[in-house]
Amino acid sequence: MPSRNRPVKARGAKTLSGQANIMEYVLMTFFIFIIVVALIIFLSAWQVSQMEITSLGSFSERAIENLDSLKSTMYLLKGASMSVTSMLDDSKLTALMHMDNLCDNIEKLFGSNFYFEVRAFEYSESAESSDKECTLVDYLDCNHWSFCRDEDRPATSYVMPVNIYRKTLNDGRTDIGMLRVGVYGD
Amino acid sequence: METKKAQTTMVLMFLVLIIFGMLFLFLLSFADTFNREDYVEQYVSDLLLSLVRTDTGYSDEFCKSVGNAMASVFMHPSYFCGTENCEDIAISRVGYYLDRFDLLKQNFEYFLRVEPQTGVFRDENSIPIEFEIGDEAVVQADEKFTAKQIISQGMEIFEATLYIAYRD
Repeated sequence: MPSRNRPVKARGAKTLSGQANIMEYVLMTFFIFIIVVALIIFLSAWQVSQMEITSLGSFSERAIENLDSLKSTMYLLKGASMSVTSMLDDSKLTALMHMDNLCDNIEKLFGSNFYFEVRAFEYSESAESSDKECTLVDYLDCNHWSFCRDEDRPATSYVMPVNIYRKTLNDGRTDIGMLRVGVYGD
Repeated sequence: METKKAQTTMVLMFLVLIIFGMLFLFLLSFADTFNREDYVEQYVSDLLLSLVRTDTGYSDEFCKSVGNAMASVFMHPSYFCGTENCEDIAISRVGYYLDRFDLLKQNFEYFLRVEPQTGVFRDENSIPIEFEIGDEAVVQADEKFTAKQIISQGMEIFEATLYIAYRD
């Protein structure tokens, strides 16, 4: 009897060991699958957030690049040379503001989807400062020039202090002001 | 035999994780974003330059620009342009103009110091003249931005230094 039972016992142990091996492989495959899926999800999410950061960074970089270009372009600076940077000429700003197809022309020089504005601060005894858009008529009695601005479109904008040279009847005057450049982000 | 196989699998899994970790760090190295500190450095430098060049509204050469008025605080301390003396002109203009810049007003404290580079200037009581506006504690701040600008008037040279630091 015992000699009959021995092979049965040995076959049962072998079957169990085989099942354990299969289970080990199944579990291992399952864990590896979970790890791979988790890594794919993690990397995808990271990639998406990275793209968002890069995109925001690129808006900022473009705004800063355009700020640098605008405060040193001869189209806006006082005089014909670029020797005095950050000194914008109010007559050039006013003339530019009333140019035909302004945004198309600016786009050719500085790229699309951006705006810029210049605001001069004139000293007054009171702490308040008023804001008046410049037109060809009230060209001396104004302090704000805006180019290709669309209030409804969200934009990333940066500001840099500049001087604005104002031509007066007798001489000229140098005001302090700010140049703002915004890049539309929609 | 089976123990060895399990160990090999564990080692392989560990290697795979290391490879993914390295891949992650490699991708992270490409994350080169816009540097705000560079922008603030440029901002404070341009702010001081623009401030010094701005006209005060007086045509007198001793106080035509804010820079002239700052230099005249040392060179002509009792001189009057119209109804204001040079120091009052410099202080009022600097305060007014710096207040117009929202970035500075909302986020930073500032301190402006002008120093002669060609000797010491004294008033009628032989006290050395100083010109400082703002909060001097800014100079000691850990994270601050500094801009310098040379002002020359006649034969004299002055250095204006503007410090800004984040508000607490």
